[in-house]
Formats: sequence, structure tokens, C-alpha cells
Amino acid sequence: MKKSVYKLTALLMAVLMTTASFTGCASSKASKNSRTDEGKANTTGENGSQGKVIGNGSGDSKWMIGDPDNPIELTVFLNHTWYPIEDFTGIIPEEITKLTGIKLKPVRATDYTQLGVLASSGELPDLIFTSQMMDTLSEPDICYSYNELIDKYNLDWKIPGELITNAKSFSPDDNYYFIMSHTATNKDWQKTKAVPMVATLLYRYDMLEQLGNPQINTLDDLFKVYDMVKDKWPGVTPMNFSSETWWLDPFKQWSGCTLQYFIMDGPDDKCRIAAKTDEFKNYLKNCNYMYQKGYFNADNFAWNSAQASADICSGKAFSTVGSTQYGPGSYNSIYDTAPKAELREMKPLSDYPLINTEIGWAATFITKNNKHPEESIRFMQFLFSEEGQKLTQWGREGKEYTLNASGFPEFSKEWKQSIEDNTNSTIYNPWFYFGGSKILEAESRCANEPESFQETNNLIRESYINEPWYAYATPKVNDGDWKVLYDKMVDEVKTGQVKVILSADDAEFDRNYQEFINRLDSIHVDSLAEFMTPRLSEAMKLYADQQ
Amino acid sequence: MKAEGKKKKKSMQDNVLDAAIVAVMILVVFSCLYPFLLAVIMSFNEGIDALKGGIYFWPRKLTFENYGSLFKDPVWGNAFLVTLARTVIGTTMTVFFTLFVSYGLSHKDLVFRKFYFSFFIFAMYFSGGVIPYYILLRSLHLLNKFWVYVVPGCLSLFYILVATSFFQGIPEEIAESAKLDGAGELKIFRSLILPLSKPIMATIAIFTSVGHWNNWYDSAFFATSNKGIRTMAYLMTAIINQSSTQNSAADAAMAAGVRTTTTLSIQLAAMVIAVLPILCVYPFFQRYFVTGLTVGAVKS
Amino acid sequence: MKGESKAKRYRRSVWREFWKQRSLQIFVLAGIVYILIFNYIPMFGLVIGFKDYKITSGIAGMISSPWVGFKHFVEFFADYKFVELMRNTLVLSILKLICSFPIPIIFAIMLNEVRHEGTKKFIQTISYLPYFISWVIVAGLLRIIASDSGIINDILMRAGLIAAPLEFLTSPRFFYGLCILTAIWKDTGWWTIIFLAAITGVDPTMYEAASIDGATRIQKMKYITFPSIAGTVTVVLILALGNLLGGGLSGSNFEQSYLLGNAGNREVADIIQTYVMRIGLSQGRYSYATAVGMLQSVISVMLVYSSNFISKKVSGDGLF
Repeated sequence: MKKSVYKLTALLMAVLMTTASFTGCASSKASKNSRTDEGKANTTGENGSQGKVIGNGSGDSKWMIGDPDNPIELTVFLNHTWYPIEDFTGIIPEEITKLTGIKLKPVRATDYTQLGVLASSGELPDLIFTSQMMDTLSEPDICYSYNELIDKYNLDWKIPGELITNAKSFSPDDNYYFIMSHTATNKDWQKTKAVPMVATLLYRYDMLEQLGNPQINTLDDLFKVYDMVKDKWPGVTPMNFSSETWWLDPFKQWSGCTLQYFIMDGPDDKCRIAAKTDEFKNYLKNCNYMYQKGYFNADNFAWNSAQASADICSGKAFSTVGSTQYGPGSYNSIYDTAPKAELREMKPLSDYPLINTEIGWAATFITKNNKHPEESIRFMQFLFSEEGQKLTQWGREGKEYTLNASGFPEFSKEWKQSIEDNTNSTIYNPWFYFGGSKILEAESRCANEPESFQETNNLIRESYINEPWYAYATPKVNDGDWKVLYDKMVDEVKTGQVKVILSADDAEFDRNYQEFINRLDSIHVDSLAEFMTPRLSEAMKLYADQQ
Repeated sequence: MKAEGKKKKKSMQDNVLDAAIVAVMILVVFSCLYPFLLAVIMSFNEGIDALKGGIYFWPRKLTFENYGSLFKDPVWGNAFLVTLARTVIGTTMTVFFTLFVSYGLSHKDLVFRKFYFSFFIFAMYFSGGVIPYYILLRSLHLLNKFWVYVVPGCLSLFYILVATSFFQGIPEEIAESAKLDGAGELKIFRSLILPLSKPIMATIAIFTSVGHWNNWYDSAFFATSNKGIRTMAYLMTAIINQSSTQNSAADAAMAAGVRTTTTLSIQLAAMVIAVLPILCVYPFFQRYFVTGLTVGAVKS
Repeated sequence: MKGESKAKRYRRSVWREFWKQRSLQIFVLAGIVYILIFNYIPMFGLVIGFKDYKITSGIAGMISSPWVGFKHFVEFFADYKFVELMRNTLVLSILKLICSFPIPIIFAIMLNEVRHEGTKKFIQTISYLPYFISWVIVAGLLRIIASDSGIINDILMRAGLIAAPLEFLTSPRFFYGLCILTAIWKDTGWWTIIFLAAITGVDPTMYEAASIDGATRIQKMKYITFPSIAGTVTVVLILALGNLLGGGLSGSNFEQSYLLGNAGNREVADIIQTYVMRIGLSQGRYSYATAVGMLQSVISVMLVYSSNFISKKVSGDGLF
């Protein structure tokens, strides 16, 4: 008996010790690696930073920060699970290193909760590229603010005031911890021929011609056409959409409902909740009318965008809600079913403005774990410069693209071929556009669109207007319970409207609409509107000062 | 006469029973096999085309692109080896450790038995979340190493409870007689109990190996910066993520490329790849589900 | 004085007994230590459910964040959606349990009756194929075949059974049915494995003896097979009850709600876990999510203990 006890304990000890020794071995290997990494990173930035150029100043590039032969490596966490690349390889990244002497070492997220784990365990990499948690990460404890770095290293970086104000709205103090990429001011849009990315209705022009090409100038005209479509082609649904991306957004705007959540006409006005306005009810009424008449199927609310485009490509739908900027591949398979098919963009069916409340896409944070803050901020300056934007989004001028008369890029044969082959991400890799320009992005996409779109695009662009104060004033993490209330309102508006839209008849519509309003009241949205009034007023004045 | 009558009655009842069983089995086979076959067929069909519906028995637009896109990452060969290693090592560790603990727990006269049960059950339902767990793994120096795949999960609470119940079903006479012969607990466990535990061993082995084979979470969260030990499931999840359009920027980005694959078609291909090895290995385990293993021991 | 010595004597005898069983104790203590390290140490993270934790304050923040007591719990109970979420979660879970729990047992017993070994193995292999079809794929396939223009509606309309397509995917009427049917389909084969393993532990001489006594097959199933696996059934049932809020045998509530739930059926599809994920984790509200998670854990443990108690009272046998 005693023997077996000792044997047992001996066995257990053996197992534990083996495990421990393995972990011990491996950990010493790991620490060896990290030491050599530190050795490589020679901090050229330490000694003095007068003027804007540091490094070996080999003359060619004014953006030289490190040494292209021995580049400074910065780790970056790409908080986008859908990102097509995870490596800093390809023609564009090589060019970046050649020009700046910086090399990136990316890690891509597989799940959006990873960033939270990294942040709270203190294991953040040098840079974080993310479109979420921007208010959470704007913290002096874990990130450097851009202004402190710009001041400290005397950078000559002139950032438009509007962009600075946008970024400041996320932080608890008067600093800004990032600059949002893909922001464009009203002035920027006036200078280009491209169209912003908004929801639009794409329809089968060839089928419309078969109906006698009736004029469509208002929603009523559109509904008449839908009736004609149903008569002539019983198997075809007049319209489809997907709940994944654009929903029924065009109809919102065309019904007069120009803003999503809050409406305030001026700094002296009172804030109103958009979902409780008559215009919103009008939008719900229009959509419900469409549902009752069978213009679309209810299951679209469960569809993803691939299903919606497959539906129209198989000829089962007359029109689909898409975006003003779509690529050649999205609807290619339509030619299999209908070789003569032609998709066109519906022009705005109302005179209401297209108000944009978004202030950009993603942010790059420089964390306090970063041993090269000066190089990092200079790198960001490069990425936001016109040269950096063109390189990271379009490639090298003369090689990957040339500019045509409208200022749109004409891409090379090889580039276009790589898009066909799906090798664009691996060969060129235009995905390090941390300072990306929304205008450039729009221009490159519009270069692919057919001529017939130009007129509609112009109309859309002319009705488009930025109103960034809404994003500025929206409750953030630091606002505690107000943010919770705001999130609940957004959730309720987004999902509650569906039941109203899917009402079987007008009486049910009234009932459901009343219930929708009651639910909003039960979460006290009016108190949220009161909270927002002074904030919006202040924000409006702030932005007015910059015009 | 009476005996004959009884026989007739039995066969009537038997026939009805047989018929019912046959009907159920046919229903099961059809409802389980057809969707699976459909999924396999659709994985060989162009994704965009498949969304239009109408594919029932064979691919309409045959393509290998769904599988090709899963293997375009050159690291997948290495990932396969890593996954294989963790499945074999992890399953073995889990099976033996779990049975080891359960055997002890199955003795009704064990002191503090109720406390032990409560200890395990409480741990099954309460968790501090992923952040403290991450910190723990970091302090144990397990992060970014292969051992993070097999060491933390090798005691399955659920199977402790199931195996304990199983062991309680083994007659006590077996252990008693061995003890009379002077054998220690470890020897009893090794030479007597384990051979009798083939069904439960196979059960735990199957469930655990499937878990290991499909686990991408620990690769993503706990081996984030070690790209060399990424598992196959991780690679496939990453590729599926890339094909989704959760984001309007992504929507336009995907629009920039010409693809015939959709998220669904790639997921289907990934599913087939994940299932194939299990389908090959499971029949091997099936022969342990044979009646009569316990009986021999008692009789002897 | 007498009481004291009795207690002391009892304690001494407990430890003496412990020492006698020390090898077996080591078997179990190995597991205890392991669980202590990997499960109990991280449990300290539960404190953030009672605090206002900011993720950027790091680990130290878990200790230094301000205490808010039961604020998050109160917020959850007072939420305008609380009753709706609770109802949805419970209805889904209970329906699933009632409908899908007996089926693997019955199926395992039936499968055991199949005489041809080869056929038996074939059917068993086929039956667990659905387990490997992940919920994401099930939802994706359903979106195609159950859509308004999909094959199911097509067949029903052609057969003249319905005039307009049934909105399987977006109408609240069909959500429960869809969930339960798919859960049964997906879980049965896999869980049959456990019960089949238990059935193989049955002594065949019992069947022989019963045959001699003239028992029919149904009688054999009723009096031999079923009681023999009653122990396993009880264990699995109690554990399934403990996991009630997770839904069904494999905790499928969350996936089904997340994947099959959409704006159309939100009023029945939204359950505690999906709502908390949208309002809690996605917004970085770890404290809130932790608090609600703790609530669910408490309910689960209570369910396990009470069902174990009832089981012991009813059948004399329980989990522990």
C-alpha cells in the first residue's frame, strides 16, 4: 500500500515537473528573442529633433525617418477581423519602407474582444489601428496624445481644425489621441468630381426601357413603376435590400428623414429625437406601403449583402439598395442571366439634403508601450500627407496609376488584372492607409463606374453636406449612463422600426407605431434630448468658428 | 396451443416494433445525411451562384476556389501539424487525467466527497472572464507557447461528473477482490479499471478531440504573437472573417475585387475539412462501444 | 465537556479515515489543485461586477476601481427589456429541454435494438453528422431554403397549402419552432453517443435471463435497458438543467439567437446573452456584462442543486 502511494505521488510530481520544464525552456527562448529585437531598434530619434527630418538624411526622400536598410519596426494591431492582409509585404509596403525607413509588423484581430484583453493586461503593441473603442483608448494612461508628441518633437504638421475637433470629442481632456482617417470636409467635396459613399437605389435600366422608360422624379413615380414591374413580370420582386449594410436608407432620406437620432436646427434650438418626428413616421409609412403592396419581401431583414446582390443578379429583383461606390465585381454575374442587363443609379427622389453625420473611419493610436514615439508620430504625418495617401491607396504614380483629366486615377493593366485575379492585396497591398483620404478612395472607385452614373453622382454630391457636430456631441464612454441610454435608443430605433414596417394593414400600422413610440418613451429618450441640447449647441458653435 | 399463441403475439409486437425502428432510422439517416451532402455539394459550387438557390444534388457551377482560398495561406501545412499534435496530446492528457480524478470521486465512502463535488460544480458555472484567465496564463508563462493548447484544458469538469457516474456502475467486487490480493489503488486503476473503461474513454476521447481540432479561440487570444503555432481552425476562421462584409468599408473593399466565393461557401468548405478527419477516426472508436466488457471481469 | 470530546473524536476519526484512503484522495486532490489554479484563481475577476471597471486601468484597476455595489444588477432588473428577455430565454430553454432531452435517450435505446452491427455503426455515424455543421452554416443554409422565395415556401405553395409565402426567417411566430427543430436535429446524434456508451455497460446475461423468462423486447427495454442507464440519464439531465439558461443540451441559445435572430423577430429572439453582448461587451461595458453573467451562474448552480435534491428524493440517486 505504501509503495503505491509513493508511486502515485512520484508520478504526479514527474508530470508536473515535465510540464514546468517545458514551459521554462520555452520562456528562456522567448526572452532571448526579445533581447535581440531591442538591440536592433536603435533609437535614432533620441538625439535632437529640430526641423522635420531626422535619420541618416540620405536626401532622396523628405520623409526619411529611419534607415531603409535597417528599418525601425513598429508592431501594430489591426482591429478589423475582415482585413485581407496580415503582413507588411508587397509593392506598396516596400515603397513605404524605402521612403520612410519604417517597417510595420501587423497582427490582425480574429475577434473584437481581443483588443480589450490586450488593453487591460498591458500587452498593447506599438500602434493600434481600430475603428472601435476610440473613446476607451483615448486615455492618457495608455496612449500618447498626438498634440503632446507634435509639440515635443516640433513637428511641422498642419492638421485642419475640424479634424482636431473631431478627435478631441473622444477624449476626457483637451488633447487628441488620434486623427481619424477617411474624413472629408465640405470644402474637400467641392473640389472633386467623385461622389461620397452613400446608400442609393440601383435599378435595371434595361427593364425600365421595356416599360417605356417612364420618368421617375418622386417616390410616387417610383411606386407606379414598381406596380408596372409586378404586372409585367410576376416572378420579379420590385426591390430588395440587405439588413447587413444599407437597409432602407435611401427611403429615409427621400421621406424627409435626414437625420438618424438627434435633430437640432441651430445653436438656439432645442434638440429633438429623430425617431419621434413626423418625417420618421412618413418614412415608416412609405416603407409599410411598399411592404403591403409586395414591393419587397420581409426576409430581406435577415439577408446579408451577398444574398441581396445574388438575388438581383439572378434576375429576381428589379432594383436593389446598394452604394454609390461599388466595384465591377459586385454585380457581374447578372450578365449570366441577362446579357443585356444594365444597372443604373436612381437620382435623389426628393429635394432633401443628404446629411452626413459621420466623421471618419478609423484611428491609429500610439501606445505608451511604444519605444519610438517620435518616429511613430512622424510616420503618421507621412501617412496623412498627400504623398503618403496617394502611395498607400493608389500605389506609385506613373507605375500603378496615372491621373486623367477629371483627376481620377487610371490604373495600370497589371493593377486591374490583379483585381480580377484577387491578388491585389498580396501583390500591391494597399491596406496600410492609416491616414487614408476619403476623397482619394471615392475617386478611385468612381473611376470604375460607367458614364451614365456621372449625372446622378453630381446630383448626389451637390445635396451632400457634413454636419460633424452630431458626432462630436454624441455621448461617449466618459458620459457613463448617458451613453448607456444612447446605446439603448439606437438599438431600439434600429430594431423596433421593423415591426412597424411589417404591419399587415393600416390599423396594425397605427398600433405598432404607437407601441414603438411608447417603448422609446419608456427608456426616457426625451431626457436624453434635453441632455443633448446644450452639448449640441456648444458643438455647433465650435465648428462654426472653424469655417 | 397456448405456447404457439404466445409466440404469435410476440412476433406481432416485434414486427410493429421493428417497423417503428426502421421508420425512425430511415428518417434519421435522410434528415442527417442529406443536409450534410448538400453542404458538401455546395462547397464545390461557386458561392455567389449558390445563393440563387436551386442546387439539390450536384454542383451547378463546379469550382475548387472555396477550398483553394482556405489553403492560400502558406502556413496551413504547419497549422495542420500543430492541430494534429494538440489533438493527440491534449486528448490523451484529458482522458487519463479525467478518469484518474473520476475514479477517486466515484467511491461513495470517500471523505469530503460532497465538498469535492460542490467544488467542481461551482467551478463549472462561475468564471471570472477572459481577462483574469489571460493574466493567469501569462504568470504561468504559457502564453504564446504550444503548451497553452493542452495544459489549461486537460481536466474536463463535465466529463468528471459523467465518468464518476460510469464508475459507480462498476461492481465493487472487482476492486475488492484485487485489494484482497494486495494490490494498491494505482495498480487497480491501471490494470483493472482502465481496461473496463473503454466506452467512457472512447466517449471522452471523441468529444475532446473534436474540441481540440476545432479550437481557434486559444490560438487567437493566448498565442496572438506566435504565428508559428496557429491552428488550422484559426486560419479558417480568419479567412471566413475576411470574406464577410460587416463593415461598409469592407463592402466597398470587397466590391473592388471580383470573387465568386461568399462567406457561406468558404464556411462550407471549412466545415468539410474539419469533419473529414473525424469521420475517418470515429469508426475506429466505435468498436469500443461494445456490450459485455464488464461482464467478463465479474465472471472471472 | 462531553460534547467537545465527541467532536474531537469525530474529527480524529475523519482524518484517520482520510489517511486510510490517501491514495484515492490523491486521485481527487490532483484534480482539485488543478481546478483551483485554472478555475478559481481567475475567479477574482468577478469582483468587477460590483465595480465600475475601466478596461484601460489594467489589472490594478480591478482592485482600485470604485465599488458600486449592486448597481449593475439593479440596472439589469430595471431594464425596460428585462421581462421580455427573461421570458424569451426561459421559454426557449424549457421548450428545448422538454422536446430535445428525451430524444437522444429513445434513439439510443432504439439504435441498440438494431441487430446488424454494420448498419448500427453506419446509422450512428450518420446521426451525428449534423453536430459538425456549425450554427453559422445552419443559419446560412436556412436563409436560402427557408427564405420567402426559397424551396420550402415553393413546395408549400405549389402543393396549394398556403397562398402567400410564410415568413419563416423574420416572423416571430416561427422562431421557436425553428430553434427547437434545428436543436433537436443537431444535438441528438452526438448526445446519443453518451447514452449508447452507458447501454453497452449493461450486463448481457440480464437480457438472456429475461428471454428465458419470456419477456418481450419492449419489456426488456423497459425493465433492463432503461433502468441501467437511468444513472447516466440523471447526470446528464441535472447538468442540462444547470445549463438551462444556455439552452438545450449544447447551450445553443446564444448561437441561434445571434444568427437566426434579426430585426424582424427580435421580440422573441432577443435573449439575455445577446442583449448583454450588444449593450454590454460590444460597448466595452465589462462590469455590466460580468454582473449579468454572475447572475446567470448563480441561477445555474441553484438549478443544479435543487434538481439534484429532487432527484435524490424521487429516485434515491442523484449527481452527488
